[in-house]
Amino acid sequence: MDKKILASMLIIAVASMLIGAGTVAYFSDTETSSGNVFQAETGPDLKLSHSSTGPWTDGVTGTWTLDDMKPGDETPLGQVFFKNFGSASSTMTITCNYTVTEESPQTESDTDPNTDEHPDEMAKYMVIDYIHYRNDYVDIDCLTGRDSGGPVNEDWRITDTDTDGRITLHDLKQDPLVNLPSPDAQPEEYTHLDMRIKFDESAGNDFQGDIFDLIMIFTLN
Amino acid sequence: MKITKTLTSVFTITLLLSLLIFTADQPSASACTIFLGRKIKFDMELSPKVPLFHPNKDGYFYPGSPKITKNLAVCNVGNIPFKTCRIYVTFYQDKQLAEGLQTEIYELAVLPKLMKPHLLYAGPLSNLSKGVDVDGKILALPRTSITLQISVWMPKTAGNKYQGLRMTADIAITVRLPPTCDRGHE
Repeated sequence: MDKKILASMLIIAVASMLIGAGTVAYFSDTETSSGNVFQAETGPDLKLSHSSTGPWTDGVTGTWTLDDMKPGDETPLGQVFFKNFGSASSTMTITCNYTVTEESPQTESDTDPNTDEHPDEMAKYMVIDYIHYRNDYVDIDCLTGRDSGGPVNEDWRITDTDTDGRITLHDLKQDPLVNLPSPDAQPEEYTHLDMRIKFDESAGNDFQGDIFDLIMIFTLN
Repeated sequence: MKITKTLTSVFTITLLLSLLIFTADQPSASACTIFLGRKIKFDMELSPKVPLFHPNKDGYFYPGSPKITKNLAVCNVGNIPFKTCRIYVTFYQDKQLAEGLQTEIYELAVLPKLMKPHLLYAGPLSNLSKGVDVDGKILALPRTSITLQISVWMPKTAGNKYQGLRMTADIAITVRLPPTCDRGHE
């Protein structure tokens, strides 16, 4: 009889030990904060047009075109209109990039048949004759950095980075226009960039027959 | 008779061993005294019970957007103390948004003037989907709580690839009875 009691007690003791260990293993708790929603803005969605009435597209082509250009020639005044179809933006950045395509077959008088390998050399002769960023409220002359004759804002001024006495597309690429007021600032107005480019009179024979392909880059921030 | 003695010895040894194991796995004596003689209740609740983050209240994320900071109280509604030991987040919908968000989770001191907030985790929000063991310092005694301060933001360098993405996240907090969660910290 004693044996049975002791055996039972032994089983109880072992079971208690296991339960004790099990209880310790369960001494943790997890709770969840559910349904938290994170959403990113759609972001600004800048669209361009050659007209204030649209159509609005992600890019426009052929704004500044000059066929058979000779030193001293200049483009007509080209206009690009801006409209933001996305969420709010605060500023606009304007810069450019470019490539040069050598003619084929080579023009005999083209003294630099490799301008395509160093397009900056040609860009230094593509003078920005006139450049205004404007709508009915602002009229920023980006050659002087002044809004309607006001004080100079260096962010809005293209610097003569190579100090050659000309403001060129090369300078615009090196010193982009930044912190221009976003078109959102006057959503009811038509904000546009007006620009005219001149092929400098001093351009030599290096660029004869070459095709200069300009890409203007507008970024809403 | 001999068998009886043997069994008695085995019983005594087993009983002592079980007591030893049980005691060794418990918190310090002071903590033990809290629940000695009571029914053990290890229970935690989070507050608020509603979602912490929602764009209707907080706005949307964009590169360089300000931090959105919320407090989550981890309340001890049981009778055994605990510490925070693990954070695990489950994402739904546009899960890749988590890669573009950074987060910091601090444990706020009960007496802020005496103790600085303790950083539990800092890094991409997406890392929390794997679950992260954290080093909770504050002991939540029964009927007290630990405040977790959770900040989420989108860094300036995030770029355009997260534009318009939306995801839902369930934030799970695990607490554990010390010293189990203090391994290597004390």
